[in-house]
Amino acid sequence: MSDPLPLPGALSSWMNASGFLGFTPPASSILTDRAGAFVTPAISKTPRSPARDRGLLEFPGGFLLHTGYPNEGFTKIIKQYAKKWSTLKVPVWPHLIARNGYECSQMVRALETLENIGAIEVSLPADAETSFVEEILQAALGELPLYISVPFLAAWQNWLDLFRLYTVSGIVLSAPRGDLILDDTIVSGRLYGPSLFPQLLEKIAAYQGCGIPLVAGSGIFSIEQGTMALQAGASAVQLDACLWQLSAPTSPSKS
Amino acid sequence: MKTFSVLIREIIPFGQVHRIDVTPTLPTVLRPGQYCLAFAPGTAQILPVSLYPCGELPDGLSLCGKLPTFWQEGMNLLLQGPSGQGFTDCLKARKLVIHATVSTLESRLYALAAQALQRGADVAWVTDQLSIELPPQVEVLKSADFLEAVAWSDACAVALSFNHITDFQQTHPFKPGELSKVELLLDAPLICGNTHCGVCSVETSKGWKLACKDGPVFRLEDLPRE
Repeated sequence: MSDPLPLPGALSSWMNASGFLGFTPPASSILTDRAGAFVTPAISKTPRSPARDRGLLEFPGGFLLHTGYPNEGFTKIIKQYAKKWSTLKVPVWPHLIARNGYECSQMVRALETLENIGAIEVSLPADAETSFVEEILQAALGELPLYISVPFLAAWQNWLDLFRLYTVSGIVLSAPRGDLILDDTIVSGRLYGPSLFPQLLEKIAAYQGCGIPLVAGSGIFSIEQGTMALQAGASAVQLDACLWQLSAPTSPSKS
Repeated sequence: MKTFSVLIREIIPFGQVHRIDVTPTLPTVLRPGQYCLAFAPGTAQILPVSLYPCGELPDGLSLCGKLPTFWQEGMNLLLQGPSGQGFTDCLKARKLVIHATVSTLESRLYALAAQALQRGADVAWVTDQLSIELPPQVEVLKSADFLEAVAWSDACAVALSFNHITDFQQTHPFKPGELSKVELLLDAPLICGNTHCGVCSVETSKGWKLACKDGPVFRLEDLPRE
């Protein structure tokens, strides 16, 4: 079975998830020769410092990551990377986090003027109020295809009518959130790992007919699993933490 | 960054972690304080682990770290590195003080002590309970003697968690002239191969840095006091 037709703003059904390849793609990864877009790490309007309680906690089948989405802010990032992005062989999907519609609008309007920007990906927190969701959608709607990234175990289906109203090009089912305990303290963060794959497939199967393309963006740890997600009804696949796994040597070892 | 295939020859308990001997060695020397990422393809391993130099072998490399339980002798590993910035002044010191704030980090400083002895330096290791076996030439001191030892030394290497820098600064009142002697090997999650995930971020006087790329060794004088 061949891959589905690429989504608007992409050249194939495969890409990286936000935050796993830095601000420019590496020379080689398991996505080389397959990627149809490059998704940037999270970009906010103003600089964000790392979370004070940042950390990584492993559990069987995955890990919890809490970073606070540190980044140098939209203006500095665009100044540093826009020229490089314009030369990439695949379109770029800037991943935006906005505190309000104004910030979102400012970033989206600026991105619309840049070369090789294929789409905008905006993340929504799991506990967002419906009014906030609508504010962001209004602000982000424009010339570029719009993808909404949601933690896939959150109740994002409550926003489907709004997504349809604002002609969202796709829903990125991204890392869910969870808690672990370290030194008697609850640590919250994003969850990654192959243990999430069955739950992701369940979501795809349940909502593939919702009328909005679904991007399988969590729990996929191999090309084979990505293919399964496409067969289950996803329109595209984003690989996350498996991109951090080392792949086959690029040069012979010294004897 | 290049990746190399190696074979696990031997796995030996080393204090609270393990020492792993692999063959062949890396084309570039792995200096104390630097690290390499290691991953066993085709296994249940999810994230690469960071390994630190322990010593060199005639036809391989000795590394230490917290290993996945399913790693076995005879298994193939992928190594990526050397990565990060290692110790600098500590590599040249004639009088070196070494200290790990927790015993799980002691093994990361072993190669530094071994190399210092090889060049004829005096080495003092400050600990109240040592978990690894040190060469007999190393003088072992109690933690109560730490500041006095730093005063004696040319350079001081400390291994600690990147979350405990403030605690360390508050419990160790160095004299202003001694801050420049201290290099910290920070224990932080080093997982993303320099793709800027940000989890290993360290605040310095020159802004936020990444332990995976700009560290994991930092100068104590470059870290702000809260």
